[in-house]
Formats: sequence, structure tokens, C-alpha cells
Amino acid sequence: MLGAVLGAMVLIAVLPFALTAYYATTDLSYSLPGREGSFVGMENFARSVGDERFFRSLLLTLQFTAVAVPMELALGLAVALAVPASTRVGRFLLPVIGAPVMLSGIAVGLLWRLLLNGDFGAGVHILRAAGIAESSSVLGTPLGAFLSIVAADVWQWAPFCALVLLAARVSLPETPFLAARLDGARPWEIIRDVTLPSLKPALLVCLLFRVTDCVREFDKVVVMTNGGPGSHTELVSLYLWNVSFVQGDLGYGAAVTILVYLLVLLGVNLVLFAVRPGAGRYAR
Amino acid sequence: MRGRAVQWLVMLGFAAWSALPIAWLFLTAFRPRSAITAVPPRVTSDLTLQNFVRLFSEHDMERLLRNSVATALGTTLATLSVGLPCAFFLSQAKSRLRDNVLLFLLSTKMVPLVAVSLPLFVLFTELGLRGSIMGLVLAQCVASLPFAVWLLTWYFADFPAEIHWAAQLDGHTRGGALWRVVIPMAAPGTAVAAAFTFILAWNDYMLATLLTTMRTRPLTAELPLLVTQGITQWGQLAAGTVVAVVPVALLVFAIRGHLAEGAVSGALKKA
Repeated sequence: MLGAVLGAMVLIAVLPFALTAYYATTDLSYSLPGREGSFVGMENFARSVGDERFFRSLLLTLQFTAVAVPMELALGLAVALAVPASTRVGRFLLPVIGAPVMLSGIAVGLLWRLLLNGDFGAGVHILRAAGIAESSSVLGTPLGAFLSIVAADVWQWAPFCALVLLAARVSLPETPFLAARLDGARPWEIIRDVTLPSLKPALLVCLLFRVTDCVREFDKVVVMTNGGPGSHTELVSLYLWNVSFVQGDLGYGAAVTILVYLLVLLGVNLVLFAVRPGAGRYAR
Repeated sequence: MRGRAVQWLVMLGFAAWSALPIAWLFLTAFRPRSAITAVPPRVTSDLTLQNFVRLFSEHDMERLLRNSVATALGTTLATLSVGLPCAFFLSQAKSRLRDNVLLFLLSTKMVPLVAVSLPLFVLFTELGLRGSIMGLVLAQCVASLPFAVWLLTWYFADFPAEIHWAAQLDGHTRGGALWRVVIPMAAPGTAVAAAFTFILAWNDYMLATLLTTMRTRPLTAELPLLVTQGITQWGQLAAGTVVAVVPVALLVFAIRGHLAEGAVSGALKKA
């Protein structure tokens, strides 16, 4: 029974990837002329090597992740360390703090597009008043657009990190803290030597979730900038979408998708190996 | 004393950070165009329902909402009916095998959705399933099963193994034990998994856009179409977004107690 259930489970999870791998070896397309979906072997993969737009999308995604995730973790940590979760007002405020997390990517994208509208957006108005934005359109400049999607991501997901880290902090055992205080440790020393190390597992969970989510980021970027201006915010997900469904080159899109999948697997395994509790010279 | 003040400052600051943009969205939904496009932006008190009225009359909201509800509900039911037994059996497996399977399931969630939507798109086109709600439900089920099983397996794994045996000692069969004892105990975790699945299906954009036609499109997939090259009806857009957000907010509110225990502790135990 277990075997059958496991088998079905694995099948459902694996099937899409197996199919994608198959389509990657064809020249399938429903819109490009002359494409029958015939077998072309590794041609699509070979083509990807010279695809500048693909590599640029990878770089952009890396930059996006490298800028957004640390901010989300830092802010989340700040809130987790500062919030007294047990008071009544604290418990009322927590759902408010966590509200952005339940919005759809579409809703967040539309909300930020409204705020950053070049003509009447409240966000642009504040930026101009602070002297940060000069041109009339924040979303229209490459840097502005990039920072905007980062800001939207941090806005939505720092609360998630805050909630996870807070839950972790609240469930930490009392004893190490009592011992540290008995030893005369000052508050910031306690944070540095007791709280932070104990929060390491939760921080790792946040890191893993956020990094993989950033790689998959699609909805709100599509709505906010649609990869623009030009292709300056064309993250990997958008590139895959554009190739497969806007250009209609399904075979090539499948190939690039497989490559991204392999890259992600590689990256995740590397990270997990490096930070695994049992790894390293000083592992207990 | 100064420490407490800092604590409150951080907490209130963060609450404002989260709440203000959402409040602005809600405000925009209830303002006339003149107030929305005013430069410089200011908070005025002329509120109106005309955005909602126009939204419902011009954009066939009943159909959109019906599609959204049908898809999200269908996906939740289908995912749970397959996922619950899977998770139950998986939670009883040897921990080494179980952890590997769980890790594998989680890894499928780490790649861009195109990896799932592309093959489904091709398959559905070949099978003529594009444009049907059933098809969309099937597709979203495939996309959400791994995570649902992952969540539920962790939840079930927390149960003492003796529960299964105790129930069988009381005269239940193996299947009876599942139905009459374990499932009621699993209600909170199941509720969380159901809520998550519903919300993810409701908020989904990529699959909904790819696999439906105008007739079967859910609300979330339709909203971005309201942003046009010409004059965008921002008020209606905000109103539409509000309509899309309210059911999710209600659902999250309903399960807020379970959320703290269920989802988070599962994720933390994994680490």
C-alpha cells in the first residue's frame, strides 16, 4: 500500500519534469511556422549556450535575490528580537504585520504599480519629496524598476521572516538565557551569543524559502514592469515565460527550463551541504 | 524602560509598514477618479462605491468570481483527497525514506512554475482540455500536491504511533482507524493545509492565464488585463483587487489560531 502511494506521489511530482525534458529535445511550437515538434536532440541546449538574454536573466535574478533576501532576513530578525509577542496588543499587531504575506503576487504588483505611478503615485510623491527620485517615472528607468521590484518583494516578505523568526524565538528554552544573565552578560551579548545561534535553524529555513521563492518570482514583476524597461527586470521566470508562451518557442523554452532546474538543484545542494550542522571542523 | 520604548517603536513601525500600502489600496478602491489622480496625492474624504458598481457591471464579475471559487474549491478538494492518504502513509514510513521523499517533494517547489505549466500547457492543448475548469483544477492539483503532502506529512508525523494501534485495538480496521480517530485529530493541520491550498489556487496567475479562455478565467488572472495602454481605470482596478483579497483575508482570519502551531513548527522541525 505504502509503495503504491509513494509511487503515485513521486509520479505526479516527476511527470511535469519528465515531460519538459522530453519537449526540450523537440522543436515544438504552436505558433512559429514550420514547427512540427520533431526530434532535434540536444540542439536546443546547444543554442542556450550563446543566449545572452538567458544569461542576463540569470544574473538579474541573482542580483534580485542577493539584494532582497538579506534585507528581508535582517528586518525579520529585527522585528523578532524586538517584539514582545505575549502582550495583548502584540498579538493584535502580529496579524497586521503579517498581512502582506497572504496577498497574491498580482495584488502586490498592482498595489505597487499604483503607488509608483509616475503621475499621481503616492510612493513616487514621497520619493520626490525626499529628493531621491528625479525623473517623472520610477518604473521607467532600469535602476528604478529594479529597486522597485526589490522593494515590493521586501515589503511583502520581510513580515514572513519576522513571523517565522518570532515563532522560533518564542519557543526557545529559557535556561541558556537565565544562565547568561546569571553570568552577568549584557543584553547585546545575550543576543549575540545565545539568541542568534539558537535562531540559526529558523534563519536557515527563512533563507531557503526566500531564495527559492525569489528564483520563482513571476507574478508581481509581470504586473509591475513586465520585464521592462526593455528587459532590465526580466528575471529568469519572465524570460522562460516570454520564450515559451509569448514567442511560442516551446521546445527551446523547455530546454532552458531544464537548465534552470538543474542549476537550482545544484545551488540548493551546495548551500545545504555547506551549512549542514554536521559539516565543518567544529561540528559537535 | 528605554528598551520597552524601542520594542514598541519597532512593532508599531512594522505594523505601519505592512498596513499603510494596503490601506492605500483600499482607499483607492473607494475614491472617485478625480481623487485618485490628484497631484499631489492627498487623503480626501469623498468616498464612493462607483468603482465597485462599474466593476461589476462592466467586467462580468459574477462569472469571474464563480470561476475563482469553483477552481479554488475544486483544487482544495482534489488535493486533499489525494494528499491526505498519501501523507498518512508517508508519515508511517521509515524516517530515512520519508525524509528523502519529502525533500524531493520540496525540491519540485523550488523551480520556476514554467517547469510545470509548460508541459501541462502542451498536454492540455493536445488533449483539448484548455479552457475547462476541470482541466485547471487538475493542473493546479498537480502543482499544489507536493506542498500539501509535505505539510500534512509533518503534521501526521507528530502523532504518536500508538494512536493507530490503539484505534485498531478498539476494534477499528486500518481504514477505520484512519477515518474515525486519526482524521478528527488531524483536523487542525488539515484545515491549515486546505486553507493554504485554497489561497494558492485562488491567487494563482500563471496556470489560470495559460489554461483558460475568457469564459473560464478566474478573477486573479483577469485583473492585470485591466491595466491598459490607454487610460487605466485605477479605481476599478483597486476595487477588483480588494474583491480578490477579501476572501483570502477571511480565510486566514478563520485559521489564525492553527497557523501558529501547524505551519511554522513543521517548517522549523525540518531544519
